[in-house]
Amino acid sequence: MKPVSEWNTSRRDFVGALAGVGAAWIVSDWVAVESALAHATQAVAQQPPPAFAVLTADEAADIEAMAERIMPSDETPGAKEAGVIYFIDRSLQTFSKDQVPFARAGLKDLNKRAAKRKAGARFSQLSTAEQDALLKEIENTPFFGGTRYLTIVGMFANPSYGGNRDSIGWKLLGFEPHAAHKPPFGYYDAQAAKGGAKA
Amino acid sequence: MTQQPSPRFPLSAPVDFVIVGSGAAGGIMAKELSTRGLSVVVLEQGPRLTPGQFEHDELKYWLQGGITNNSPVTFRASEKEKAERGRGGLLYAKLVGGSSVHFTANFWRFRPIDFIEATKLGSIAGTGLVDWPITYEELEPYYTKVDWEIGVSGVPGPGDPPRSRPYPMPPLPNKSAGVIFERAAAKLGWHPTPAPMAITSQQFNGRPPCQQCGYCMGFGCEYGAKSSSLATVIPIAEKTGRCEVRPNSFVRKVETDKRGRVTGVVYFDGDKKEQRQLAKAVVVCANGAETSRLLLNSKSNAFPHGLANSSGLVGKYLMFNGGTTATGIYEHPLNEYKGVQVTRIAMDWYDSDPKRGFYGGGGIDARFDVNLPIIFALGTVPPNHPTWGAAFKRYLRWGFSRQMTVYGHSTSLPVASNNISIDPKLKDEFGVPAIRVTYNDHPDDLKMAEYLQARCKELHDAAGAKVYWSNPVRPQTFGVHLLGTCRMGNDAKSSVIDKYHRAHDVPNLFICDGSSLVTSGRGQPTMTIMALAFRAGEKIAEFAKRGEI
Repeated sequence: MKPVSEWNTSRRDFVGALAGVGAAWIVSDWVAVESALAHATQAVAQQPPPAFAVLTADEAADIEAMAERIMPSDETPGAKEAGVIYFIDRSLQTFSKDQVPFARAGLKDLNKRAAKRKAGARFSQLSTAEQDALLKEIENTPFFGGTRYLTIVGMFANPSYGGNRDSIGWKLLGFEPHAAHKPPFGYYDAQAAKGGAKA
Repeated sequence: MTQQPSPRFPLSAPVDFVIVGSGAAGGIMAKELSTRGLSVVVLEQGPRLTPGQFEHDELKYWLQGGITNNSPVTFRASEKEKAERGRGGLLYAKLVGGSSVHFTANFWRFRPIDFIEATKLGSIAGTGLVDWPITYEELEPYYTKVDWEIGVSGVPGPGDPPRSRPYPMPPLPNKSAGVIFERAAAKLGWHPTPAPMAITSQQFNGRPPCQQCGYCMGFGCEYGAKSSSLATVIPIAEKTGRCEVRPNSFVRKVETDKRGRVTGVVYFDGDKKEQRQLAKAVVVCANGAETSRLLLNSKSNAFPHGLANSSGLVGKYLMFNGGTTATGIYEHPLNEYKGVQVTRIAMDWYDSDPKRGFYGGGGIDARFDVNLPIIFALGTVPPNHPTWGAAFKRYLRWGFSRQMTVYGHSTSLPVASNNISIDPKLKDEFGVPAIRVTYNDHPDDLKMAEYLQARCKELHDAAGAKVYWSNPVRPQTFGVHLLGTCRMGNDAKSSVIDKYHRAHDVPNLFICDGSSLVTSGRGQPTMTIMALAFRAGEKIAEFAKRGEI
């Protein structure tokens, strides 16, 4: 992951804009913003990945396989590369703590269905086509909904939460996490600014 | 926003005023009273945050409610039903500065018609549509005060109400959604105009210009460019040395004496310990829901139905404003996540038009609505599109930068059966009886929202969107604008406060916030709440000086 200061190319402009303002409170507090961001960056940069706090290795493999089908790796990186499973594990340890029994029950059902398709297999051991077919069966269940939710959040939340590694989710969308932006922002306002064609 | 060294008033010596709530109205009230020499304690239920704590963290603020209310609420659509948790709710920010910290900063003035609609249109059966006891002309100087003291960027648009001074700042830079909107609206014969926003477009009163970071709606502004109470009036109040803002202080009761006068308030401090702050007068600015709850929970022998409630109207006539959207995807990237949420609006449907066959009016804006990464990915897939797997991922990749929303904002009729009451069973973390919301949009409100939704789609069509869609208009179960629940009026039987915000029943109790509104406007009520607060603050200070409280 790039250090935050590299993303934030506009920061110099921002501080420059402040110079004539005399808004002392902002300058002093900006230090706090920067240090919080730096801390988050450091936490994400820790290698190798931490051990799972809540999920067993098997459970993690199954949920990761689900996340990978929800947000697959194809011409662009997906949930696996974004480390979504680490986000999910951490969320089950913290803000989604009350979901743990529910997730375990869902996994149990999922693996029962997996074993029906292929004797003795866990979900993570099925082919991706089989996994897709099985997820299709359960796509309206709260368990699938919850896993989809955590996969998406893990893909696109701030990397400090453990997912969205290397800003993979944000890069997929074309989202630039700068602390400030400057016009033109997009194609149409750039075109208008150039006095481009008026419809 | 740096906390000034502020006085610490003793609990047992009555201060001139206790203000309950530090949001759009409470902050201005604190400034207006303290700068006129009066001592003020502001009790705010939420914490005091510094700019460094306003992070760009979508998970924390959008999904985990980092600065929003977490008190339990029950909801039902009619008084015949049993209200339940999880069926609906209310959203407001809970911190010093209140919802003015996290709001989107759309800053429409009301127009003269909003104050006299009942006279112009006649009454509407089954509703409490009445004229305000004040006119636009009476409020105009205070709208101008808001423009100049709070900081509003804009330029007068077609059909705008008269103004005594120009906007203090030019409009913010236009965005791609604004350009698309402007072009298509012109084709349709509408009258698009730059959106008035309570965000700095240039250096203003010691605050920097907006840095276009995009984190306005739902977030606090770490730059102080959003014109919240916290960034504008609260520091001025504290500088007087006569205003103490006490965070983490949840007021549960306004107390009265035998004469029926207010003596102070009981509140829980940060350690959940009960405290009693004495005051010569109390101003409740806790928002249209919390204000009603506090008054209804402040029962006594003298006020058996709740404080200031001899009319029975405390909590009644709740109005949310109508809202409807159409989302569209365009050929080229717009990158709507950059910059402020709204840059162009059109108000061609402001007046209620009998030809439409129903009451209502509204305006439309082009905006980035759910264009931050998580919310976008969770919720904005076109109907019948896969919501997981490779096709879903491809859609996210294509759509994120190309999406914009056209948003219709409209009227809510005041209906007595839409209201805030006290839930008979549910209590909050302090053991205080919780809010029960009863709400079902008036049929005309739904028709107006549908009418605007058709306009929103028309816009996308005229603009050449690749794809656009809307969700059907349904009765609302979730309120963000909390209006009308302690309405002002000249008659003590049909209103809660008089035209100067004094409770009809209690001479030293004042109420000023969204609850004061008699009608809903067309959306974006904060500008009007702030103008009312400037006007009320000035008058209340005069009353205090003349010994008329």
